[in-house]
Amino acid sequence: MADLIAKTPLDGMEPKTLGTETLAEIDLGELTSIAPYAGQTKALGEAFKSAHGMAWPAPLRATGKDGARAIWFGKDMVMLAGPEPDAALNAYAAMTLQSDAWTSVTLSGADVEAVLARLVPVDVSAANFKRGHTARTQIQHMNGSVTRIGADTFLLMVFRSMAGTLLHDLERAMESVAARR
Amino acid sequence: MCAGGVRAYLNRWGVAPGKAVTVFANNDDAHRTARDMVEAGVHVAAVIDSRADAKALGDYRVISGAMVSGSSGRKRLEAISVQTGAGTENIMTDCLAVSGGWNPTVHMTCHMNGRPTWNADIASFVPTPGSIPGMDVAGACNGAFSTAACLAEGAVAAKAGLESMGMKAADVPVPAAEDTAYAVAPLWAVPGKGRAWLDFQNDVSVKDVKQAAVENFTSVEHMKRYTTQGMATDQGKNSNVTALALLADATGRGIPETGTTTFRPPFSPVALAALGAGAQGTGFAPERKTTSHAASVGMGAPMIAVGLWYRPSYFPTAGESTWRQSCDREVGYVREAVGVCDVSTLGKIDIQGPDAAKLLDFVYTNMFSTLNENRARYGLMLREDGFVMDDGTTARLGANHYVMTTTTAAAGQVMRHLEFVTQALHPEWDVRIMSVTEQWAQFAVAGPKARDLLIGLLDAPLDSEAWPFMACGPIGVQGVQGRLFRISFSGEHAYELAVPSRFGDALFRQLVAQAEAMGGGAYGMEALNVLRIEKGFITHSEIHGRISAQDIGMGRMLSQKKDFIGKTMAHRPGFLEKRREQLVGMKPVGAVKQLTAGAHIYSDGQEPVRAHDQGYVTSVAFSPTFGHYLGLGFVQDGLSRHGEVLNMVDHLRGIQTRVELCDPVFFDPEGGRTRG
Repeated sequence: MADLIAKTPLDGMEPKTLGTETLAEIDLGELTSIAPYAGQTKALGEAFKSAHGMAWPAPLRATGKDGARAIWFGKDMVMLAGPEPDAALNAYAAMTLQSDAWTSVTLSGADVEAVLARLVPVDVSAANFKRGHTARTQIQHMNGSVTRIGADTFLLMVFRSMAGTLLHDLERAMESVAARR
Repeated sequence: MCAGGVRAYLNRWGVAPGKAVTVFANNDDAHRTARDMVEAGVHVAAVIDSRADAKALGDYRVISGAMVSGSSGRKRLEAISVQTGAGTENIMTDCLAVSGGWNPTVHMTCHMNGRPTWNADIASFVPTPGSIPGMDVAGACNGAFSTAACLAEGAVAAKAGLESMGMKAADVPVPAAEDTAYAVAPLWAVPGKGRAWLDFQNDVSVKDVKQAAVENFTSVEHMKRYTTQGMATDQGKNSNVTALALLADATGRGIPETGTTTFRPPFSPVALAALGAGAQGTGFAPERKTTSHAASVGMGAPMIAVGLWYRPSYFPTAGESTWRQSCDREVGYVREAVGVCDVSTLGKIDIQGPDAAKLLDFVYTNMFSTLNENRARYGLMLREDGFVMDDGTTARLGANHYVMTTTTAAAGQVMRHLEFVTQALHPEWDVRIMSVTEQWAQFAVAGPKARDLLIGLLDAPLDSEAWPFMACGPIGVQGVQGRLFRISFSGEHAYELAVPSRFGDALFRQLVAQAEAMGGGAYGMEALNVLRIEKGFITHSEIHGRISAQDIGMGRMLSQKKDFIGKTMAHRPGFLEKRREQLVGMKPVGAVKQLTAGAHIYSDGQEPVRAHDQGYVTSVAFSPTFGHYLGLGFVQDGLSRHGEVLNMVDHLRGIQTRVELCDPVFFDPEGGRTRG
């Protein structure tokens, strides 16, 4: 019998450019939510750093770079994106496989802040939301994760099942901003 | 039209609001309107300035010491009458721009009950310094109207702000800028007969304010409510100060003594369309689609909305013209061969930590700390008020690791409940929760041939001793790490197979193809509903929020060995008294065979009216297995009334059916098929 074929949430969609913005589905690699047990945050932070070479992020912050990021993901929770988590971390935290649970896209371009301003209720302007800043917030009507990963590039994550709606809402906002230029 | 508005049309949008514009003003700033019009080539018929010493500030005619006292024209302005020292002059015009001077936008500075201060120089109110701690006001909001004055005040305020934070600011020179004096002389109303509009939004006139004073509504708050002045969406942006001045005049007080009402937003109206943004059509709400969505649509299944999710109603085949035909066939797959159904929409919550079992024992009525690893158990959850909140199976994957299943409808509610318990009620418990609903694509494989089907797909043999009813554990599916649960919502020998969502589409297609080769196939929501009604399994049609555990015959699941949420309240007298409506099964026994959900139950010889109501029907299905309708519902003392014949009356649809009450488990009450 044939092996199971994997599908991405947006089914391998080609990057889309509208106006000055480009929307691309990305493969973040393995996703693992890491929730430190009581009193373990400090020890976990040290073990995390030595295992994965990046700092345990403070609330509203993301660390790491392309290929290996640690994104604050809510109260007592960080999403490790990229490598498989070091098994030693099990001693300090509850770890849950999340690789297939999220639709991950990047949105980049000169007007990216204007596009997100239409959909995201937090202030994502460069003065307030710098590279490495992250928020669990809404993207139009969806609960998601918004992280600035470059001067004009954001990483957006919503539930996998809502991939179509994310695409719809982002395209609409991108078209709307492009039409007003 | 406001003089500033006329200017905005011209300068921002390139529109000339008239061909012969007149301006009526009491201040120099309004002359900018005339100047800009002239510069743009629009004819300015005259500027009528109430100040006797007003002079032209550009190439246009000024009539100083004059007032506009009337207008004429039908459907549009054609001419105005101007009262001058020498008499009345008529001027042809199709646009009259009016300006009584500027009012600073003090709304923000009036939070925390701050009241503004009257400034006679600009004939308006300015913020009172220090009314809001930490707020310094600068610029036009402070009554400094020229660009140069705004820049200077801004620089001073910025410096003061930085110094208050312990920072030292470098000296930054303020650039040279426009610095015309703002010359204004108050003109609150033009004397004379006829109505003089004051509040353009609420059509309040000068006379209305005077009448308020005559009737002794002399406080500003009373005048406002008497006339409705300032109560429209502009919140008195244009008319407040003028109204106060008129009231002061009518009551013989000064303006500062008269005082103000509370300035509050919205200062600038926001269109509802802007607030709604893209929330229409497909943008109205997120659509949640399962991994089998494309395959299901490809099979012609009508998709129905279940919360935000879309699920297949049934899978029609050639020759079928009604949904019932498809549904009956799909029920047959499960009862006689094997059916496949996407159940990924059920909530799945990963629960880990040393206190995971404690949490489960606390939120479920029954015990989970005693559950063996690699086993699942049915659980019932109550709200704090003792009513049933949700039900589902929870599996123990490891010593401190569980995965909870919720219903599709209550997935969010249960997650929120667990967050509340772990954050607010027992923050000392060392337990972590995370939704994994989206991580796993999960499929029910149900029917007598379910095991045979899976044997062909799984990497390891599926031997019945290792996988008894309610067993669960990790399993390989063509090299993919999955999870298998031997649980059943149909009453048949059944499994739920979960794989990471990326493989959901491929696995669903394989499962369906395999099932079809074995005389079965995919089944949708309709068949799923029939199967569970045949087994008397409840959904939120039954546990609708006013139902206790005792009402559904699950009183024995309320553990006496431990505390749990809702325990105390579930033993209130009202929960235990006689005549509570309890879950029963119903089947038709008279000439009419149809049962309908929503119908009510009445005894023989009693008129079917509210006062005689014995209960109601929550779920019905035509059962192809039994060849007639089956119903679930709630009837007073129903648990002890099996065998009684009552009348089901659907007032809405005009249907009356004789029904016999029975045990809600119609099919295989011993459960031999599930366990076998």
